[in-house]
Amino acid sequence: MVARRSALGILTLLLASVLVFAATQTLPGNAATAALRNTGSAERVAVLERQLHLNDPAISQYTQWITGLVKGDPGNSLANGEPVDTLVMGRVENSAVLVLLAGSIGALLGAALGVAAAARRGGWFDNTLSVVALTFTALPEFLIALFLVICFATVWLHVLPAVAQIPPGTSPWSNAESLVLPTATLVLMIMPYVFRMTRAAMIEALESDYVEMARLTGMSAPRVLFLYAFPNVIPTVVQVIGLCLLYLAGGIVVVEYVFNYPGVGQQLVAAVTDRDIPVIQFIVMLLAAFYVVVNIGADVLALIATPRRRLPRSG
Amino acid sequence: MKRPLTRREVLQRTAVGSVAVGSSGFLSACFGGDDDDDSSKAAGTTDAGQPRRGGTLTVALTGGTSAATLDPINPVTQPDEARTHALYDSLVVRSPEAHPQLQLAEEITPNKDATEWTIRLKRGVEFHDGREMTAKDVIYTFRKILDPKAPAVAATGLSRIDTAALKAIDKYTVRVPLKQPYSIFVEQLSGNAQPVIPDGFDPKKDKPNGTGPFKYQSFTPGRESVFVRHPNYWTDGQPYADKLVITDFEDEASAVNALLAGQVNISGGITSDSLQSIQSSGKKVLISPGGGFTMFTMHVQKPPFDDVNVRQALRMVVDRKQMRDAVFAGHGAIGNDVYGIWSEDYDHSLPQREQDFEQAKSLLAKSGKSNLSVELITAEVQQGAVKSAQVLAEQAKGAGIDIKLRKITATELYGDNYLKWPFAQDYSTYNYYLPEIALVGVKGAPYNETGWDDPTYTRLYNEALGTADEAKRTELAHQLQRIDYDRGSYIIPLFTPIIDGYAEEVHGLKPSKAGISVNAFQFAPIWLA
Repeated sequence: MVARRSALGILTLLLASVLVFAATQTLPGNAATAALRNTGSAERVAVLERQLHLNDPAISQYTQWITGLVKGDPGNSLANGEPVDTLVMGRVENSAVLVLLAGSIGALLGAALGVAAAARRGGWFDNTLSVVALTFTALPEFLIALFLVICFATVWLHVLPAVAQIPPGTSPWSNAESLVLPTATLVLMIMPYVFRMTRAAMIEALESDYVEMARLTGMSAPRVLFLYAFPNVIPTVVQVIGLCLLYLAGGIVVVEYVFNYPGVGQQLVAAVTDRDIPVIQFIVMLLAAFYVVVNIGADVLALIATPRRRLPRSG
Repeated sequence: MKRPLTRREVLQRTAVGSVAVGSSGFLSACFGGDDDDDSSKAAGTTDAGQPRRGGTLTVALTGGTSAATLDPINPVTQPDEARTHALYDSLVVRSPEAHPQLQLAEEITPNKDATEWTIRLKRGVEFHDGREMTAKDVIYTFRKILDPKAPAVAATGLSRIDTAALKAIDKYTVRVPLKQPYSIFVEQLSGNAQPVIPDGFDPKKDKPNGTGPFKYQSFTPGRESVFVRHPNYWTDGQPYADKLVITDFEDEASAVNALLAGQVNISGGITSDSLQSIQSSGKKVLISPGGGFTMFTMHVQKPPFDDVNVRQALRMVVDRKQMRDAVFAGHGAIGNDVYGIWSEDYDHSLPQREQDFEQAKSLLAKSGKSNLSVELITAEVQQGAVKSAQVLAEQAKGAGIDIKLRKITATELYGDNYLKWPFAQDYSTYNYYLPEIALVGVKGAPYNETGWDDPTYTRLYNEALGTADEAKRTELAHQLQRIDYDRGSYIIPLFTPIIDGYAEEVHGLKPSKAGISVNAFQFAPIWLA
């Protein structure tokens, strides 16, 4: 199954590459006009267009790009001539830190609260959390980000940096303060979702016959909860966490922009402004690859956690 | 022969940096101008006490992208220009009054018909690598900017220089012969992107090496630049800060937040939208009048704008004060459809154009174009551009003109249709009157968005370029401005104010009409305490 999914994944990536390439071709203006802004007289634009091969036919630009990519050479940035991979990879670490940190905190907290709320279904704890979770799900991330900035950095309290200050060449871990608000924003974005899904799955499990049976045997409530009910919601939780990671890969674009956080999301926004097509394509392909990998990973994990689905399919 | 410019000569005696020292907060009052309504007063300048050495000055700027460059003669973004000013000096810069002010030049004089200029340089000016700046470096700089294979940003303005005939008369004197008369050479030299670079310097590859107040330490495009004090800078005691950090921001709100949270000392070049949040937080703002502008461009070769009545009618529908309130919270100078507002040759006697629906309607009726309906291409080419287009469309209704807005991105505006849009927007940074014509007002000019090619206009312009006598040249400039005013192709309703937010530890910032934020990027006189 893994092999089949991987093959499908590669096909997906190829399709994505065609789409990305086509989309970037339709952007109005090009890297030459974007780079020169209105300092670009017609002659200067023409010189730059020639240097950047912007007037070559689209097909030859595409094949050149895709063969380079397969060989591990995504080309050079049109904006500053640097190799795309070194430009982007430096920022991948920053974004990865953000995604993994927010992903693990959000998933753990969300799942734990979901289980707790389901166990006390209908109580004040459950009701309050459910309302709060619903509220946060409805808020766009930039609003949450701004709210956190106002609370902790600029207006009420001045305890945290309002924007990330991570000097080039240093790791985000060595500037941990800068990570707090961006991470908190992302956690607040995904946690309610994990919470609600876990809670729903848990309630369903708690109402099932086998849990009823376990209870009737006189087992203690925590034992029933963790040994009987919880294992049955693990596949759901894994799927939800997978979805959240995918969501985070998109969510960082906004959060990095607001916090001036030097990750790939911010770089993608900048690259679109600059019409820096090789950079746009490379980042989008990275994100697409991340989607494919996370999807396959989540499926495999869910499968491992579901014994009966591991049996060979009939027919 | 000395250049017959007394006022300018006074300025020539003043070193750029030294004027900033100990200026009082009162200085802002000088900028009130003759218009009482003009909000060109500064909302506070920094001042008081002896300047102090030391500290790291951190400046947040927006507009930086990964396309940012350290190439001093080909800056792309605002932060690029800031970096150039920190690392390099120029022969001439713009004073806070937005007039030419000598920096590395000690004296610049023309011959009688302005076909040859002589530049005498300051002595004892050192590049960061310890070499002394001499005539050779200046000649190299001109040749590099005018390199036919890779003309730099300033090439258009300096194209009349006969590069082959440039000559070092002695170690500190350069003779600059011109292919045609060029009376506005000094003005042209004070424009951006023409810093003096050392002989043999490759601006694309070499580590930055200028005579500027700060030396290069590190640079990451779109993120951050770190520069350290140049200990042998030619202005005594300056620069005051030990280190200058320029941080790039994608988004103005984040840059302002960084200021409010105390992460940066200055957030430069912000819009009036941020004024309130800065002021209510106890940080300070400096509002300078500015001479850059966002204009509406009417292409004179495309209907209906080929009809002068249509152009004049559109100029008459604008209530400029109302637009200023809506777009810049009441700050900035009011425009009169003529650029170069702080130029010494600007004609202040032209009556201020006011909203006049009746006359607009009658002009349109005369051309048989009542119920005029036009499409306006708008893009956020500069702060407030889209908002001003919305205000224009709203105001035009009063004269029965229907303006349909089509909003596109700035990149699209400067794409394939740039210079061809019938009715669109563009922006210009501050420039003197005559030098701006070279960029927009003659056939083939690089930013001639309106297809402007008027024989009388071109004749007067060329005559002005050959007139070294300032009084006569001013007279010619006034005739040209009269044409702009009576049948020109721009609507210039407002001049964009320049706003900087700063923390109270920052001193030495002064308002500048030159239209550039953060002390017109002169970082040397800024100090922290």
